[in-house]
Amino acid sequence: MVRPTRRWPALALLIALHAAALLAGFLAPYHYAEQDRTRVYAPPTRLRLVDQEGRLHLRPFVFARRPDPERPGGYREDPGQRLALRLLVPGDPYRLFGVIPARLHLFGFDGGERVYLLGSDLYGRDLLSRILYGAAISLFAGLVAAALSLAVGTAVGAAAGYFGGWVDGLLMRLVELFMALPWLYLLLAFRAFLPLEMTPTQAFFLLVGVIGLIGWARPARLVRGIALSARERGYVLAARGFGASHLYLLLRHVLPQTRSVVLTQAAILIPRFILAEVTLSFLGLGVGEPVPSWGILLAELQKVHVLLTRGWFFLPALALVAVTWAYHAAGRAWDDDA
Amino acid sequence: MSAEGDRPPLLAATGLSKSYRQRRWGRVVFRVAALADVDLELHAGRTTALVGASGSGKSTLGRCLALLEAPDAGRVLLRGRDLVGAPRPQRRAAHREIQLIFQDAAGALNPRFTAVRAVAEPLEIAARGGRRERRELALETMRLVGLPAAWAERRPLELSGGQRQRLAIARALVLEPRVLVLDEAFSGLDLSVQAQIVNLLQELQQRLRLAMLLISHDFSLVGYLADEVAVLDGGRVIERGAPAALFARPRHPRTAQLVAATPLLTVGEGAG
Amino acid sequence: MIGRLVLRRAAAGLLLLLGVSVFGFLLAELVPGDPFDPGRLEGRDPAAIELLRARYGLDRPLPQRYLRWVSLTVRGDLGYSLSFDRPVAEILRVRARNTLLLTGIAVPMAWLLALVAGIWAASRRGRWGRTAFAGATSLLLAVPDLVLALGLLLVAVQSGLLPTGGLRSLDFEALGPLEKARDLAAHLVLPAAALVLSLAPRLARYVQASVAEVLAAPFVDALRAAGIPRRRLLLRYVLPAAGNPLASLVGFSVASLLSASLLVEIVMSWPGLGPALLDAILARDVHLVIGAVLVSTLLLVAGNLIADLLIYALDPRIRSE
Repeated sequence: MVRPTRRWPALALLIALHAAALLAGFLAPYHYAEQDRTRVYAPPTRLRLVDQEGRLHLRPFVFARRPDPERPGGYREDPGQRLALRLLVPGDPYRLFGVIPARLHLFGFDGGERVYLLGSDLYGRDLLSRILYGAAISLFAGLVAAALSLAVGTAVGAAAGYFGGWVDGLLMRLVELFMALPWLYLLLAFRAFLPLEMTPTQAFFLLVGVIGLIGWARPARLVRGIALSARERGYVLAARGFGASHLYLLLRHVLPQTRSVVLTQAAILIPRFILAEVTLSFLGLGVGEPVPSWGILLAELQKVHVLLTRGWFFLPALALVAVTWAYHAAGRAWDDDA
Repeated sequence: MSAEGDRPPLLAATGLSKSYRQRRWGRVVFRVAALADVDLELHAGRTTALVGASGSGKSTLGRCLALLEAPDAGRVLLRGRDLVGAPRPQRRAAHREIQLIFQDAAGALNPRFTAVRAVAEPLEIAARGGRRERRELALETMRLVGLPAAWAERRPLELSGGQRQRLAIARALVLEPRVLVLDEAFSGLDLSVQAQIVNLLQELQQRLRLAMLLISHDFSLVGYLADEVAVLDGGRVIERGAPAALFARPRHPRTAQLVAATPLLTVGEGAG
Repeated sequence: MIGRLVLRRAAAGLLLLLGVSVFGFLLAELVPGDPFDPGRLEGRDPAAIELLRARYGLDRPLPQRYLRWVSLTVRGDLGYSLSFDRPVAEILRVRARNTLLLTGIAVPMAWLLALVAGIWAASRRGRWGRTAFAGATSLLLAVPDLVLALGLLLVAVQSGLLPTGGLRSLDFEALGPLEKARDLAAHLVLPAAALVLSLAPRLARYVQASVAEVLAAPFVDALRAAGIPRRRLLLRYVLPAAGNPLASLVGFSVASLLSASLLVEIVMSWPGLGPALLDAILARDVHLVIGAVLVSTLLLVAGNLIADLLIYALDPRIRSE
């Protein structure tokens, strides 16, 4: 069949992206907040294999860079000084998975100079490292918010569909209210009544809570439909005939049937919620500097000179598109299979 | 009255009434009486049949007797004790003594459960025994209905219609009920399979002294299996008696209509 | 005679507005800081505080305060914006008009694009066309509105062809009527393009799916066999048959349209409801936030109603219901 092969590219990309986010500290050459005021807005450095004399090197290297005396704010490469890439080198301390203290990084360069493979920002912070750390924040926000939404949605939907009656009527009116409203307005309206100044951790969890609590309506409605039909299934009646409790019926017979709907919804909600976090942070309503959410990184593009001359600031956007595409494709593949 | 009328019935319904309402904005806009003041008795080791046109309330009566639906009025008595108003633990215990077997065995089995798990489910709900004991008992019960242990790990979709119905029967029997309600349990099965299941049930009834309520529109089957027949029309019992006599000389015009509408091939043969 | 369906939907819209108003009012009430909190006004005469509270109705129970608030709102009094130093209603009237202008132009264009692309893809026999369509739409769907707007902004700024940001040029007042119109149109291109590109891919997918479904129906084969030319077949027979499910999409897309518009307006500095809401939130301007949300809900309800009327006009089956 064609299907498994169609499903794999998207799934592989998803797994790779999440693994990268999980291992951000190890993969990133530097800490996300580490500044170097002598390397402001440095463009991406080219990784090379061939030096100036045309000799091929097996170990990739970069040329050292100096501020360009002729162009203020510009940089030029010094072909005389090769900085070779080394694998598994010690560097800035970080915590692996946010817990285990470590110093080992996947790669680094010879010499004391910082090398920016994807360029640097206003403070000389490494964009590659910031994108990787930012992935951990933005992807994690999407996952947690989606888990919250799906948990609330499944609980509400299962209760409404299973018990029916006025409970159902009331909950479904609420669902319609939430589904009818434009999600971004809803998100901003909720956000409007939360404090603006918070610690990054507070902000993160408040954000995730707000995002998660506006997205539960659609999964609730879909799960309700399944619960409603499951309630009348013969095996549910039969189990009731053995004296099964409501909780047993919900857990054993109703909820397992919602699995595929919940998974499909997850594939839809996670990218949407990643985007919600990015959007809020972009607008200055999410987590703040120096935490490198992708929204914070993209917000740099609101400065005209960055938009026009620092093209590498579109790289987080590229990462965002890749994540969204991978989730959509995985969701479609799952839908086709189901 | 039946031949064992002098003995108290195992399960009895007295004055059962039930109507379905459709509400809109809290107002009843539609109301249909499914049962109106129905009396019925089931005795151990005997089969009572319930016949009637579709929509006559047969299934509702079966569900009320199996405690799957609460009647609006009337009582369901198990060994003389009312179950309708009984506290939940008592009802739950009674649940295990009265089992319903559905027409649609495929729908009555969760497609995600393996055969042995389906049969063990009632034991699990009743929290009886450990996992291994439950499995043993389930396998034993499967053997009782003629399903070999080799089928234990199959799922309902991999079984034939007759095998599924056997599985449903095994599941109903695993808690050793006293009463079996068979709601059109044979329709949809091939004739030969029907015959096998009928024989199985007769054998089980004799061995376990089950009281059976046979809900069916198949008069020949009723004539073959039942000791007593009740005819339901518009939610009321309009006639009852021994099948042979009732089919041969219906007293109520609706019964006559029903009988006339059904080809009766085997009337009277197995009724004695 | 307007159909029962439309009346029912109008009632649902009213209910939605009511729900949002309760929600908005409660949020406003929840915001900490009673202006006459006795704790904050320590040392003042308690009787005077009570008097002030009574004057502003703060001593009434919550439902009464809500009703008072609703009656003010219905009369167009949405309160006073402290950050803009103007009445909220006045600000929002202009902002809503600008949002309507932008969306009113973008939506028909998005539909046009979606119809053309969707019908083209559905009527393609070969694999190539369909694959290209599926690839293009799934790629565009994966590009978030935010990124789309930023990318278009980059293109516009670099090419220098289009004005970026704002509604009109600085010398707008000095221009003649024709030049005014042209100036406005030039400012509209960028945000409208972003909105069109945000909406069209999803719409095009629906168009493609429903047209393809109709094309597979037996009656189309019959018409084909009768020798009706392809173009006529598509436009006269297939499209009307596919129209009903599509018309219901018009209403469905209003909510996502408003969300997309909010972001595009902010990124492109189009002075619509979006930037007003964002500024209000950043300035903690409660009345303006609630006003903006209420007005956007009003737009939503109106948009949905228009969609319902459209379905009603298109589909005779609903009329007879």
